[in-house]
Amino acid sequence: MSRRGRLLGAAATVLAAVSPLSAQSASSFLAQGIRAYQNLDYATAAGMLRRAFGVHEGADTLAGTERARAYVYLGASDLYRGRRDSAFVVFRRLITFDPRFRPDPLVFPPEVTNIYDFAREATKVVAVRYASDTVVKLGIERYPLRLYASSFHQITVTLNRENGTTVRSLYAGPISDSLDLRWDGTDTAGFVGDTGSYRLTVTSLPTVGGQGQRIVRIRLALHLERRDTLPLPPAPADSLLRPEHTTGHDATRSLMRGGLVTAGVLVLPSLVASGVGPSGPKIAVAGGVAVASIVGFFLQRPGRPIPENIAANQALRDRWTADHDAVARQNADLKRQVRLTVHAGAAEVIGGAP
Amino acid sequence: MSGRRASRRLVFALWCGATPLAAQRSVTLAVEPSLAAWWTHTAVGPSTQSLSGWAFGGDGSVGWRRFSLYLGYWQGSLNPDSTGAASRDVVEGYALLGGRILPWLELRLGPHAWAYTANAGTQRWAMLEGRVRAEGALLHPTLSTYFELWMALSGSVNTAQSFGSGVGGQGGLVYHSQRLPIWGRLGYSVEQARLTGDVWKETVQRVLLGVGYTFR
Repeated sequence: MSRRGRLLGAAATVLAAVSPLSAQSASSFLAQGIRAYQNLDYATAAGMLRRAFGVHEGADTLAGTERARAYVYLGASDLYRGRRDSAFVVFRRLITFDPRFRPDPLVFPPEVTNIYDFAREATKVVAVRYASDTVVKLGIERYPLRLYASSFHQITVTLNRENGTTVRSLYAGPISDSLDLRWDGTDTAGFVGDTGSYRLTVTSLPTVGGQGQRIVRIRLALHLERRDTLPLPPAPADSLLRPEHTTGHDATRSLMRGGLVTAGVLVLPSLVASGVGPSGPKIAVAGGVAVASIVGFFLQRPGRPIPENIAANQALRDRWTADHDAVARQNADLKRQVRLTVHAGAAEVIGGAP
Repeated sequence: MSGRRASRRLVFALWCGATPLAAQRSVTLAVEPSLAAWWTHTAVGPSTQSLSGWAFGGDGSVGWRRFSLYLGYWQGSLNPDSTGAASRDVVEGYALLGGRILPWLELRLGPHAWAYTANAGTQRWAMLEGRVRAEGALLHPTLSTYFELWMALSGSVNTAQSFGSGVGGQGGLVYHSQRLPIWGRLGYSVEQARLTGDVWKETVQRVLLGVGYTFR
């Protein structure tokens, strides 16, 4: 074998030895760490688990359940290595990462779960579960939020505009385990909000002698779709309404017409027939006309209500009222059919890190 | 007797003809059976004669826009109010064409005739009349009143003398039902026809009581 050949062989040996280490993923470090923990090799377990956290290459990073498992095994390893403070800090990180996580009591002995509970009591964090993309029919449905707390503490939940002004305070008070909140899409005054960017802010209030303020902020892009409402029918024009009270004109005309006809009937025989014939018939008819005109005068005297006109106007107004109410009801339905589309971004955590 | 039969035929014909014509919405039809109290005063020179009685008949109208055709027919019997005169049967009729020039004013033109039948013979008066009629409400829409004047434009009479002149007028009261298309009428009319030289004056007065129906 030549010198060149020997060098190549040595390089291949080194690469073969090194490449498995660098190619190990976070998951394999986690598996090795757990195996070492189960073999009571806590130092190796802690080392492997910390290396698992140290992998930051894209999809190889620990996420979700694996990350929580890594934390709890790392905390337990530190505890059994006599590093109680370190275990406490690791558990607080786990709680911050997932406030709902609980160590399995069948896997971890009481000394582990006890210190975990102490860490949980000392850590005041809230996780928010929300729908990232959803459509809510306002007035019928509400936008749901579920909050999970690590331990009992005080929180505030507000919806703010981008400029920081508060649109609606959704909650202010204690939370122990979990809390369901539902936003109806309205602001503090009860008005439906506008399309735009908003921020949902969940603030865990500082505890006396404990951690500082921790804020979970979620950016919400809201889009409101309103249905067009129908125009209300105009009130009946005055020209369509009949006079509801008599005027003096009708009464006067009635009297004048009756008087003229009465006089005409009375003088007609004299004009036409030189007064020949009986006078009884003309007097009877003239008297009838006179009486009718007087009756007409009194029945049409000024200010007297006209029932048929009042009834006709009332019918007209009733029809308008019915139409108006029907359109108003339709509009109320249309207004209730506002659709709120919510696009929620990722939760952003500020402060409160252990 | 034959006159009564003719009267019934006229009313029946008006009634039968009204319904199909009324179906044409632009045409309005009305019939008005009526009873008339009748007074006739005849003056021939110094002698006078007065008769009175009842006549039954009616009139009808066909209206189209502003124009109307009026047909009327009455017949009855007259009895003398004074001794020495003979009873007569009376028949009257007219056919007038009317045009409404204002909502309350109408002009009418057409023939108007009446005849007296007695044992001595039949006396016929026929005239072509021009009429002016005004109407107005006394209590809208229930009560209204009307007044009408007319003048004979020409005439004829089957006597030895020729027709001279004729004038007349009527006025009255009409009650309109608000629930039904019917009305009631109380009217008074008087007219006088004269022969040339005023040797004969025929004066007729009537009080008319009628009930009308409009086909819609």
